[in-house]
Amino acid sequence: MRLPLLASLALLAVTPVGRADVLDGTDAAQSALDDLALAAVARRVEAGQPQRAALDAFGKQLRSPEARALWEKSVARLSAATSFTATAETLGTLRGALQQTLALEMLAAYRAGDIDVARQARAAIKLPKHASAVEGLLALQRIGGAEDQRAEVARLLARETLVWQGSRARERTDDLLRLAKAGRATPELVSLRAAEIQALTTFPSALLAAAKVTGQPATAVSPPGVDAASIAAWKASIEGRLPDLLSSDEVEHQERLVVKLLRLVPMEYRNGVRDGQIAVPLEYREAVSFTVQAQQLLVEVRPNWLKTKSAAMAAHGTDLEGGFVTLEETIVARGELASVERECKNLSALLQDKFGVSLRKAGKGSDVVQETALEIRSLLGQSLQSARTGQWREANALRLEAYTTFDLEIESRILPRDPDLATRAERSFLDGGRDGAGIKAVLDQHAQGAALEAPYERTLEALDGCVALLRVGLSPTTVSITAFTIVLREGLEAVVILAALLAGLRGPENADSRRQVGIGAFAAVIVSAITFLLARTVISSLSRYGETLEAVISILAVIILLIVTNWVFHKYYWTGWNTRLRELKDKAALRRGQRWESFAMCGVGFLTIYREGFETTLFMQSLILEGGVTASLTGLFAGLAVIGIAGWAIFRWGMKLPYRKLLVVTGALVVTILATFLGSTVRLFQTIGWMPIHPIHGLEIPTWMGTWLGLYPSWEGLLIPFLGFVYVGIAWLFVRWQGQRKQAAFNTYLQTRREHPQPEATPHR
Amino acid sequence: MSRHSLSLLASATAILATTTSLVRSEVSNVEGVKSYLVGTVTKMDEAGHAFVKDANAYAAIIDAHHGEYAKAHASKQPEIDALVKAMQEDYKTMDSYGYETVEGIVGGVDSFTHYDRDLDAGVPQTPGAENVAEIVLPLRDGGKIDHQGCLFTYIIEPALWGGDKRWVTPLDLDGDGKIAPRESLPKVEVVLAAAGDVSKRLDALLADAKAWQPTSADCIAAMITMTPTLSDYFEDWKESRYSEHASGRFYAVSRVSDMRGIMGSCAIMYQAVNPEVAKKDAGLAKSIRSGFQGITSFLDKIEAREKAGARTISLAEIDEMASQAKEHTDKLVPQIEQTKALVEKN
Repeated sequence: MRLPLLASLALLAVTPVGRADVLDGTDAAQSALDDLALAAVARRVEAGQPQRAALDAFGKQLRSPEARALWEKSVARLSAATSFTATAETLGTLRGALQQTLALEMLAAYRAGDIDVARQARAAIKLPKHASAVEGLLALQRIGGAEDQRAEVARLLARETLVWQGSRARERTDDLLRLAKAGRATPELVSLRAAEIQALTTFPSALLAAAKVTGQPATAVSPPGVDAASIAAWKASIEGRLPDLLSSDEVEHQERLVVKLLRLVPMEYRNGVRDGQIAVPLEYREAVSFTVQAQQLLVEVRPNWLKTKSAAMAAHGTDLEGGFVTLEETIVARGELASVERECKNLSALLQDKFGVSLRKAGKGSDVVQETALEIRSLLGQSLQSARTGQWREANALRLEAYTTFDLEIESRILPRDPDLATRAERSFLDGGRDGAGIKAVLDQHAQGAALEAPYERTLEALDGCVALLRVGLSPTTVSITAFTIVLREGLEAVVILAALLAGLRGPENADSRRQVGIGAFAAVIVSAITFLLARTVISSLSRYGETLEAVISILAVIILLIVTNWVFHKYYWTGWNTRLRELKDKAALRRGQRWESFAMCGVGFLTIYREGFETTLFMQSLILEGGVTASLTGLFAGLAVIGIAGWAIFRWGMKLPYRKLLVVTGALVVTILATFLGSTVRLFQTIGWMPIHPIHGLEIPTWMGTWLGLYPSWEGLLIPFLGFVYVGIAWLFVRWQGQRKQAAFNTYLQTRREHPQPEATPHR
Repeated sequence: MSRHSLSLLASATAILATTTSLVRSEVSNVEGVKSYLVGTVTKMDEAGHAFVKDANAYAAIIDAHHGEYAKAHASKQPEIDALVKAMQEDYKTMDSYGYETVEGIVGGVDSFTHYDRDLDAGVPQTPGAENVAEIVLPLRDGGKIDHQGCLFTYIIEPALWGGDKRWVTPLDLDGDGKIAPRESLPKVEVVLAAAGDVSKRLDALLADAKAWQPTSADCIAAMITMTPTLSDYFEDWKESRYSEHASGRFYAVSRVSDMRGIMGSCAIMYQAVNPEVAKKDAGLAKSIRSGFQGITSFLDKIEAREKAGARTISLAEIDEMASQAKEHTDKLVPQIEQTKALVEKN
């Protein structure tokens, strides 16, 4: 019976793990320290030679001079210890120093570009039970090697380590206090633990510098006695040593988040657990995760509170911690909903009444990401709940609200960091991807059970990934490159088509049309600028309608493009005719056509620019908040310069082409842009729920094809642009047939004139 | 840990070196986890049916003596002793060497958790109690056992080892003229009802295990649920070393065996997702494997010290050992959460 189980454990032991590395060295050193610590607390004399060898060997493996110096200095103290208590104290110091050494080694390896060693050192660091370790992991995974992001990722890794060490120090201190209260604290145990805690809270200056933490280094604290009172007093001194990692804005933001999480926990729990059983795993896990997250946030805030809210901490700190422990235990045991609600209510009241936590929203830029993510989670939770009760319209409306919030506040920020993740997250709200259907798709299909829940889970996972990555700040270079890319992506197609059209409108006879296009384009630039200025005031309050506005603009742009396509065909066909024909055209019809043409030219100028300008302004707003005005504007102007040059080059090149050839190029461009507009308009319609979505399972279309060509793997997304091509084909055939009829009529007319000469009259149509 | 399990442990370890490649193919993916679960539950189910048979044979002897346990024992002592022993072995196969080795999976995978509640983890109904086992056993004498806790921990084990007076008839079994605290025979109606119920539940668990379509996400979620429980087990172990009779339950085998079982099934699940994790972060994968190994070595160390005799362990050592063990498991939990992020978000 137990063979496979034991074999499995053994297999883990014999699985090849490669040459000895930081992890092997740490394991050996840790194990040596544990053995020696057991001997010391048991007052047993241990020769300790193999253990000492393991400690020395670990030191020799270290590549960072700072890490090695710290470790060797700590190991050297071992020989000087002459009593069990002194040995225990040295061992405790070594335990703490081991963690600081690993942190230094991780940072040094990371800065040297050795990501694998950085990962090993990071994985070797001890973690507190509720450590949040995903953000650093994803930062290393996704942007680990990027030169321009290195300082920011190092900052994240260092801060993460500081939080872990601080949390572990607190856990160990509480444990020591419990031992003392139970009368089980011996001098050796106290020396061992107190020295470890002190070493854990003695952060190397290089680590603090990497985390960009300012302030004085912690001063030494005298070790406590074995009695509970002495340890309690010592605990307060130790907590005072923990670095305050947060700015006042961040503290306020974290506090607010805790209260929001406490509001959400009972909602998730109510949906997730019924009669002591997990009814909806997703909701239950959210309740657990929100509780743990709230505790983690409080750990981070604690050093600041000890300074700024010391009276409240002294009077209510224990109640607060105890309340969270009870809440977590109740949730884990799947207890009564009423108990969970009561605990959350009490904790919220405690935070607001005694700690002065306010729900008033403040903060800027990336500060709001976590809160936004929380809102999105809540909206998605409500959407799932509505879908489960068959309220599909409501579910879709909530999904759309969640999506627009995501699009505006998170997707725009995540794009420069990880475009694939941004696309995957976006698609999970809509049609889905390789890993399954998206939320919109399952809502359209009225899916039930696991099929309904799976895309919600995937979306939340992707959202977590986004939030984790957004903890890494953006360097100015990345901000500029992002702004440049946005402008290039959004502006290039508009500028290309306009330049080609202007080249096609050469000659004095088209001066009016050129002017109309120019007026439209100029107006669009002005309106885009106004949109930009209003974006954070008027538009942000209308943000949920952003996609709808874009859809309306897009459909107008498609109509205009259809008109332009027709115009190009006529132009092409007529250009091949002799000038006589043009002279003999129906003057009245021409005038009517020119009026229509003028409107179309002005419209195409306006809409092709504004369609992209609208989106660009929203993206730029997010980027400015994230990375500052200077870096964003540098990228913006660089992008404008490049598309300006590209437009001018196309215009010049077009002027040199024979007119008919140019019209072919222009026609091809217009048709391509039309198809792209149709594809992206279909996507927008699907996003806002004006059109259903039927994903094509198994079909993967690269992200760039969606961005640049408007191609997305749904039946509607592919068929409708195709129908656009069909329309263009029919329109071309119609123009040609019409032209041939006119040509035939004209030939007949000429023939008649030749045979029966008479004064010139208006030709037949 | 019993001699039986120790010998199993020893023989298993000896075979390991030659069976590594076989096991590699067995649990190199999530289907391997299912095979392991189905294999284990099949044996538990067989033991469940054997328990029904043994309980019926035991009932037949007691009934033949008109329900007079003392008379039955006096006239059929070898048969009764053998049947009680057989039922105890059935129990060990179902629970200590069966359920405990898959508890990490059954208790962690959402669709199975009600089995964990009703078989092993659910508590009796009391005001404000949470995770109450949904066990109601109608007894043939017209009474019923109504929400008195889960089958293994609160009913069968106390009935077979005399841990709960409601389920046993105290009796001077060794004829020394005194009735020691747990000296008793299980009540027929209790073992019959419990055997019938546990057998049905194991049939159902087996059917569900066979129908299970495991995913990496299932395994990771189960590990995230179950790994933290090891910390509580170490705490239990620590307290039980201070006061051997403090808990009043867990008589069959040591708590160390339970810890090994849970840890083992978590290790099996991790092994199934390890290749995916190692591809993305070899350091993390290696650290988790090393974490599982660390806990195993630690359990070996504890077991060796227990075997040598509790008196050789000082109280300070117990505190230090429990603290080291807790640190091992505390580190594993966030690490497994990281694997979730790696496997599901990338």
